[in-house]
Amino acid sequence: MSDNKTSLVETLPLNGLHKTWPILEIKEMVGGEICSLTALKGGVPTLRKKFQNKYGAPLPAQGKVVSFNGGFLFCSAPEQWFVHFNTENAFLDVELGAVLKASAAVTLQTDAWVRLAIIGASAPQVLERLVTLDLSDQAFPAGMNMGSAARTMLGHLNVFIIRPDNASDSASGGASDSAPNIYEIWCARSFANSLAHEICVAAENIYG
Amino acid sequence: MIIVHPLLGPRDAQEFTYLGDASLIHRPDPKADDAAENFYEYLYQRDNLAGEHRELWFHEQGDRSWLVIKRNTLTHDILSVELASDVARREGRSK
Amino acid sequence: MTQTHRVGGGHIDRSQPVEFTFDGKKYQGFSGDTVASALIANGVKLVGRSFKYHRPRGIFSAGSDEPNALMTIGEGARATPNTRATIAELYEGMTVQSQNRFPSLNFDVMAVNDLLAPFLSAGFYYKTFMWPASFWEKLYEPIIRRAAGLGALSGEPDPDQYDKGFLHCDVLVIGAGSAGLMTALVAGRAGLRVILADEDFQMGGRLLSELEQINGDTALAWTMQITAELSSMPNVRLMGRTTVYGVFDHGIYGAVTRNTDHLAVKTKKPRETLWRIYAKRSVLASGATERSIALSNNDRPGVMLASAVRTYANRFGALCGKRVVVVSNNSDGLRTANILKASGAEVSAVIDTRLSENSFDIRGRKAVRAIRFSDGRKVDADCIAISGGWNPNIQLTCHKRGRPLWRDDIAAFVPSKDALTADMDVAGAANGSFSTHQCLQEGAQAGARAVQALGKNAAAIDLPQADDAPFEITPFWEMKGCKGSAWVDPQNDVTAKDIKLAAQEGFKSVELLKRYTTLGMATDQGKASNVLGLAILADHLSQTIPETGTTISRPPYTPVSISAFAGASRFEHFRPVRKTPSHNWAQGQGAVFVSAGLWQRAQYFPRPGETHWRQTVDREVVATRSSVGICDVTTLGKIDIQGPDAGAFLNRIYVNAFAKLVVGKCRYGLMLREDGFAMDDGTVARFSDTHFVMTTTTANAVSVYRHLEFCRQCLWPNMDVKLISVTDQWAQYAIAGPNARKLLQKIVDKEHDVSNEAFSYMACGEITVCGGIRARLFRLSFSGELAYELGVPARYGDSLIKALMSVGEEFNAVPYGTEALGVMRIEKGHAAGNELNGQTTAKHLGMGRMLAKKKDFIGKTLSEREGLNAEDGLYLVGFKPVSRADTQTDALASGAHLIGQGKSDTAENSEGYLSSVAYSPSLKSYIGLGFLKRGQERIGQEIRAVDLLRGTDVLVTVCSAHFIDPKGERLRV
Repeated sequence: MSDNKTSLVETLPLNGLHKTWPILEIKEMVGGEICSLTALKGGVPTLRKKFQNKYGAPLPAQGKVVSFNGGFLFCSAPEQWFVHFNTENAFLDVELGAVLKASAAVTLQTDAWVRLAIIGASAPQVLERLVTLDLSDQAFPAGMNMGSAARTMLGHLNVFIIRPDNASDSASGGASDSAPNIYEIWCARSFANSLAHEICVAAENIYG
Repeated sequence: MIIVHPLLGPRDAQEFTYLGDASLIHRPDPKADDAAENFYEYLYQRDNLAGEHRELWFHEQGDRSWLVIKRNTLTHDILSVELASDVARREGRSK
Repeated sequence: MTQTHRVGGGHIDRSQPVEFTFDGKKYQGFSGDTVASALIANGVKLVGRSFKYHRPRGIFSAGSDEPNALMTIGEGARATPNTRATIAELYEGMTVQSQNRFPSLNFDVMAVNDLLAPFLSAGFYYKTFMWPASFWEKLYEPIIRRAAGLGALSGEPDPDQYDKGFLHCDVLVIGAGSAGLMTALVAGRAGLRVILADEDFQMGGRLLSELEQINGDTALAWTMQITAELSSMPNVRLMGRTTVYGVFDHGIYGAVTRNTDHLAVKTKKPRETLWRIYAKRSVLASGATERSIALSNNDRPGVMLASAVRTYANRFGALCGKRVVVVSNNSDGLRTANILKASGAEVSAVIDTRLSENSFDIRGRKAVRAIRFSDGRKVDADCIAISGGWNPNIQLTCHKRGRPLWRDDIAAFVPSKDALTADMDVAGAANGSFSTHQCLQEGAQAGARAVQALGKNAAAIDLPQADDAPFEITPFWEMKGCKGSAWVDPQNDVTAKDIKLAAQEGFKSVELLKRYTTLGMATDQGKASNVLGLAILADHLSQTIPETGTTISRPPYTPVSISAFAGASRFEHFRPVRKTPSHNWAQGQGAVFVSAGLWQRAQYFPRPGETHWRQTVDREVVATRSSVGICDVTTLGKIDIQGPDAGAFLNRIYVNAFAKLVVGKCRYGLMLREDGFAMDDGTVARFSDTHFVMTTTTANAVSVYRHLEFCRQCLWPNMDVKLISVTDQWAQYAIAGPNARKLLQKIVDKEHDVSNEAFSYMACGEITVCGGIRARLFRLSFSGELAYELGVPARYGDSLIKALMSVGEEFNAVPYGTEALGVMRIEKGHAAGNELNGQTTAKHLGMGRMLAKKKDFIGKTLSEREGLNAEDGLYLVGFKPVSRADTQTDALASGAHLIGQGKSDTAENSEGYLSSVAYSPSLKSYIGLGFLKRGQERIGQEIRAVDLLRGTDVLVTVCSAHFIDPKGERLRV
């Protein structure tokens, strides 16, 4: 049986990557736990009620991200949400499954994603080199209680782009009075090096 | 091209993969007597239209929804975009 | 070193002299010059040799329409051929080389082609180089290849970076001349998001080249004032050195910005940026391009467009000639005479073709010397400035198959109503409106229309005062009665005679004319030649121009480098790369990697002393089968399937039954395409009544997921089942071999019993390892040994492989890669990608018994087709060489055909093929899997495996595909 002497250590997809340029910062996001919630047939009303009761947050519509005390969630597909909780919990999917019961299919997703925050006034300038979506303030607003989220392509990679609202747990920590311009990029973990490369090359081409 | 997703708004067509004629939604009844003939028609016989065409696209790089798009194959004008599951249900597909 | 033809005026910066070389000789110009203006200022006439006839050529125009002055600029890897001298901005130390001449520009041996001109007329290659047939490959083609083209590439990898970008705007204004500036101003002031793009390095368009007055001040001052206001607006983006090269569907435009070509010192900044612009509306304010007149020897150096002569004088302070003849069929061209006189040149003749039909020849070969009239009179000249009219730059309105409209009053094409798409507007010279006043007015109006169309209000704008002289033209295309050839397309060397020859030979439609003569097919896409050629054809056929039609202009408007299209996707960054959680560890172990789609997978792990991959792979197989081996199988697609109908859903996807799979068990599944052919296989694990996890092959993960969603959303939209990928969530390792369980038990936490009784073959479950780490265990075997697959959240993947190898030391555990994986599955007779090749059905694969009889599944109906169930079809069996020595002579090759002994090696005699081959260290022999006609009935027979490509022919015995442990006893211990 197990010798109880072997223990496993965690590896970050990008080893805590953190790069800065004059008005731009790229930082790997770590910590917390992520699950997918996909409503089963007819389950959206129940899912909405249970989630609201337990976490005090509505289920955002497609293209939107909402934060609550303890995390944030965004709509990734019809009747599907990704929830990020600030605290770690290796059995989050089991616990959520117990709360939501037959209203939703839950899967653990934390380790499936590498997460990079692009922070700063020129974040849109970097992103416009890579992303076909209109990420301007008009089309992709950050905002109190309701930011923006989209699943799209960044270069050749499939990504989530999340623009948290001001109330969210932001990556940069030391924010000034005005909320920093933050875009979180999530990509499948196996693409981590490629994601970092694409974003860093775009930043270098502007600043380098 | 730009495809205006019913829930997400305009997206570049490169986010999608194209399958083919929307008639693929209507998979024949395998229990019918002429099932083999019907499957043959379903899979291999297709009208090649110069003009308005109803077709299936998969939003592979987006929300993974299948869409039924009515597009003019000559001008590329897109006339309508709907969730395929809505179209399928409306046209009688179920379980 | 003196600039013999430099005069006062212009927008160059005389305080910054710039030195450059042309064909090795040093010259001086000024900052603000183009290569062309600097050469002209230095009195250089001869700049190139024409494509076919190698005739001496000079600078013809002052813009991106230039057909003659194509240079190779730069050195080494950056030497860029076919660069227009008219748009290349001069920088200190620039090296400029002329092209298409040997040994020198002045003395070009290939000029002999000019003497052979009668034999090299249009379409000559359709009539020559045909006999004898054998000469084509060895003689004619190499000669033609060497003669073809103008400049040559450096042959070295491109040292520059290139970038891409995606921009969104309300209005894209194409062209920053008087019209475009007004449009941008109106739209910008109304708060719209505006992009104003111009191919030039300065805003202003034609205003930069004429001496117009706007509001009583110089046009340049007005331009700078407007540009400054536009720069200050945060909603306006000014893009100079940017060509909008193409119009695509739905308001998508392609553009390219040249970032560094004008810089002496190249930094790491991208040389070019390729843009995709999404615009709600666009305004084409692209101006117009002057055209010439076909007359004898009109291709000589010194024969130029009248507007270009004015540009060089007014914008660059350079004189194209000191004794100039002006020829014009319209009011605009005639102003060239006054400009020249004011710059100090002599105007030796002014010929207005509207007034008299004078015909003359041009004398001089390497430079114009004089003109000689038909009555014998000679007039000295070193430059001929010709204006045959103006062609609005309407090309972008034709990219979506719009056809332009001919206007007799300006003898030119303008955009027709249906050539303009719903969201594209046009203003100014591009619309056939040539006075400055008209341009300003139309620009403002187009801006207002755009603002209104987007639901906003445009503030009234004061229209600046400007010239409004009418444009008067009498069409005059070709001077009759000339002795020499009259050039129509200078770049492709097409003459008026060629056009008539084409019509004579039956190529009367304008499309055929183009392709037969190559008129308009050079890098300028006919800017100099299309309308003139069309008019000559119409004349010759006694048709009107509208009756004759035009060809379609296509993107790109001007050439775009392939590097710009590639962007950053070059070399190892051509595609994204996917790495498994054990990648870094495997790299540290010296593993050799192989690409499996986008994934990098360890192929084998060589040990010191191993010099050939066979040594390594054989060792990995032997070690695994005798003790234990570990392989990273993270790359296989994992799809999480949940819902009350999940089991029923799987029943319809796979040929075999899944709805009643017991919780805690896995099952192998085969899925078909709807046409009955095998599509993919994998295993499905059931974690609860409503929770399954499906695996797919690495290669098919994406397409299987797409297929499942199609079935779920389109075929059975009311089934209660949902899917999501979890491929990257779990790092997964295969642990295989007689000691697999013992190794596993070293890390599985005590409370989980993985004995054979508690966790039997094909079991699955959630467990914990290494003191509470969440894990999933599957008892699956691809190798045929006692085996498990262990999954942990990917963050532990690196640590887990190290832990497994560490506790596995006592069992001499080895890591194994895809090669050993492949050898072992072939030894077991497991079908994989080579067998599921799109041409095989379940029955061919020997899985006919898996096909459920009672339930429907994708592919069922058509899998029952007669042709797919024929007795003499190709069925999967195994093959072993008859002589079992491990020598190259009996090495099998996959792809080899199976042909009977004594039969000749033809396609008709092929009875099948080998699909997978390996050297089996277990059997000490090569083995193969393959498809053989009636294979199952022929066990024991001998047949030849013939590979005509590699020249092997091996006698093999037909045997069972299951070489090792056919009863599967090792799996169940």
